[in-house]
Amino acid sequence: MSIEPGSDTAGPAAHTGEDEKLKIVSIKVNGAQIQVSERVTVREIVERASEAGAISGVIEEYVIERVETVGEHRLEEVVEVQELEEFMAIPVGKTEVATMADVHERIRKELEALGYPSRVVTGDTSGGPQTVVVFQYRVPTGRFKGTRCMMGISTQCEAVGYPEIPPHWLFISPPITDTRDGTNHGLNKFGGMDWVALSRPPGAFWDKLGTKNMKGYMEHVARVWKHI
Amino acid sequence: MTQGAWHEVLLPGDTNRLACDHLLQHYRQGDVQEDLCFGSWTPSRGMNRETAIVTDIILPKPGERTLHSTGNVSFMGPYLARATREAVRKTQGLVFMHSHPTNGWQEMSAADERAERDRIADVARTTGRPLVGMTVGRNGHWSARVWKGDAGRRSSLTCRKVRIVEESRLVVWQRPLHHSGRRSRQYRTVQSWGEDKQRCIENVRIGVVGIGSVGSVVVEGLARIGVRDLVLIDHDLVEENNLDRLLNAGTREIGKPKTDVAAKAARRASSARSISVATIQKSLQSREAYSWARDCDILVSCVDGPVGRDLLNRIAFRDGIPVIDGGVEIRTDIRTDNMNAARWKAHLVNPYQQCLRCREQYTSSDVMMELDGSRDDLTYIRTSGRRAGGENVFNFSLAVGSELLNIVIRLLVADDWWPQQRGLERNLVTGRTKTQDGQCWEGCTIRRESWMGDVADAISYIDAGRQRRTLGDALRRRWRNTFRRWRIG
Repeated sequence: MSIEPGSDTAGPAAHTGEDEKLKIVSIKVNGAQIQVSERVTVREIVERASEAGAISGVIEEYVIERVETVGEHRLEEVVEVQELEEFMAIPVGKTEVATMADVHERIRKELEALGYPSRVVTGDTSGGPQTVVVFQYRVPTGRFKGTRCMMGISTQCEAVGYPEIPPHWLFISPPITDTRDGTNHGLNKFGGMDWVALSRPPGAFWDKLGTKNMKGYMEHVARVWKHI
Repeated sequence: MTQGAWHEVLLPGDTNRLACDHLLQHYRQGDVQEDLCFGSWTPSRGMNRETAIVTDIILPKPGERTLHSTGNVSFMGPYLARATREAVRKTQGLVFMHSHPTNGWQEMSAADERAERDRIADVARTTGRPLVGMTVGRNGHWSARVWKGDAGRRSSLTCRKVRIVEESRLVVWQRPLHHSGRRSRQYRTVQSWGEDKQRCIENVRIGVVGIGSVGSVVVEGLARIGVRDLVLIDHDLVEENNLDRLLNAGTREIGKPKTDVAAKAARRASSARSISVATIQKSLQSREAYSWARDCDILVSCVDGPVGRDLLNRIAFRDGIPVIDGGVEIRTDIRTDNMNAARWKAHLVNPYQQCLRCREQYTSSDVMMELDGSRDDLTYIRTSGRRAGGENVFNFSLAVGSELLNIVIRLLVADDWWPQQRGLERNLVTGRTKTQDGQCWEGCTIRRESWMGDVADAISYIDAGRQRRTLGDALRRRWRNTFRRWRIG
C-alpha cells in the first residue's frame, strides 16, 4: 500500500473511492490491536503510528463499517478485511520559513541567554522605520573599557537571512563622537534616545564560525570596541 | 512542474563510479552478465527543467538479487522494500539502475519496461516522488526515464540528458544526435578535439550571468566554438561608460539591454547551424532569473557583486551545476594615480572544489551590505574608507574571459587522464601565474548543502527588493541632504 503525500484518500479508501462513507472500527498495526472509537481514516492511523515512532509497518487487519444513506434510511454493513497492507509514513507539510519577527525574537532570546536582556525597538528615525534589538552593554575592552552604554543591533534587511547572514549596523547610545578611524555613519534618534550608527560587518570571522549565533556576534562586538 | 518541462538526471562523479563498478563488474571481467541496483534521488527544479540528482546507491545484499545463466538478472521483493525504506528515510525518490551488454544510449526491452512500470513504479510512489529508471551501456553510457501517472496509465518520459559531474569534468550522455554545426566554419575547431567532443559542446546549455566586459567576451567565444544553447542573464542597460570595455557595443547600443546586445552578437558569431539564446533581463536575485540559471548545464559567473556570487556558489553546490567564476582586481594609488597591482582569477566551482566563500571571493557580510544598499552607496564607501572598486581595462576582461572559456572547454573535452585543475591567478605586475589549491573549511555551510537540490533551505533574499533597503536608503538620503547643504553653502 502506498500513502501519497497530500492525498486524502489513501489506503483502503483508495481501493473503494468512498472514503467519506467508511468507518474503521478496529485495526491491527505491527501486531498490536488498536480499538478506534471515532471515525478515522487509514491515513490518520498511519499518522498516529508514525507519531509513535513507526516510520514503516504493516496494517495486518482492519474492520470497516460501510455506511450508506438511501433516502432517509441509513444502512450499515460491517466488512472485515484481513490483508497485509504495508505502509510507510512520509513527513509532509509546509516547510517553516523564518519571518522578520521570528529572527528578532531569536536574536533577543540568544542575547538573553548570554545575560543581555533586550527589547525590539521599531521606531521611526529620520531616514525611515528601523527595527533594532537594543540592550544594555558594559564595554569589556579598549579605551572605553568599563563604560556602560546602550547597544543596538540592526536586523533590518538581512533579518530573514540570519544566522547565515550576520547583522550589519551597530548602534551605540549615547553616541560616540570620536572613533579612531573616523568611520561612524551619522546620528539616529529612535526609542527616545540618540544613537550613532557604525558599519562594522564581521566579514570572514562570521563565515568561519562553527555555530553562527549571538555568542559569536558578541565576540565580534567586543573586537569592534577594542578598535574604537 | 512547469508545463513543457523536461527531465534530466545528474550523477555526482563518485556516485557514478560506485554504480558503474557494481553494474559493469561482470563485463569488465569478460562475462556477458547484466546487473542491477537501486538508488535514491533528490529533485532540483529550474524554470523548465526537473533534474533528479542521484545521491546514493543502495547496493544489493546477498540473496537480494539473482544472476541468471542467460545473462539476465532479477531482484527480490525485500530488496525493493529495503531500497524504498531507505529512500523514504532520506525523503528522496527511488532510482532503479541496470546494465546492458551493448554500448551507447539504451532503449528499454519489454521485460525492462514491465519490471519498472508494473513492479517498481507503484512501490516507488510511496516515496512521494516518481520512479527514475536508468540503464547503463557497457561503455558507461547512461540513459534514463521518469515514470509518471497512476497504475494502468503509467508512462515513461525519456530524460534528455544524464549529466555526470566529476571533479573537473562534465560528462553529458544523451540520445545520439546528428551534428548541427556548420562544419566548414568549424573545421579548425573540430580538428582540435574531434567530432564526439564537438557534439557534446553543441548540446550543453550554458548560462552566462553578468553580461559586462567579461561576460560579452565569454558569450562571443561560446558562440564561435559552436555552443547552440545559451542563457544570458543581466538586468542592466548599456551606458556610455561601458563602451571602453563592452564587446560589440557602440554608441547605438547605449540604453539597450546588455543581454540583447550580446544575444545579437552571439547569433552573428555562431558557427553552429542554429543557436538558441534566451535573454533574461533580470537580476539573478529574482526568482525567475534564479530558476533560469538552474536550467543550465554550466554557468559562467561574470558578476561583480557578492549577492550574485553567493547565489551562484549555492547553485554550484546544491544543484551540482558547475560554475566557472572569474574576476579582475586592479589596485591604483589614488594619490599618485599609479597602478600598483592588476591580477585576474578564474576558477571552477562544484561540490568537489573549494567554494567561492572559502576562496575569499566574498563574505556573508558583503552579501548583507549589498542587500542593504551600503555597497552601492558612493558616499558610504567614501566615509567608511572602503574602496569603490570597478576599475577595469578591456584587455584584462579579455584575458579573464579567455580563461573562463578555457575552463569551459576543459570541463567538456578533458579526458580522464588530464590532471585536475582548480583555478588560476595571473598577476600582470609580477608576470606570475599561480594555480589555486584549497578545500573548504570543515564547518563550511555551503559545502553542507552539496547535492541537496530543492531539499536545501530556501534562500531568504531571493526576490528581496528595495523594500528591505530602508537603512541604506535612510543614510543615503541623509548624506544627499548634507551634500545639498554644502553646495548651497
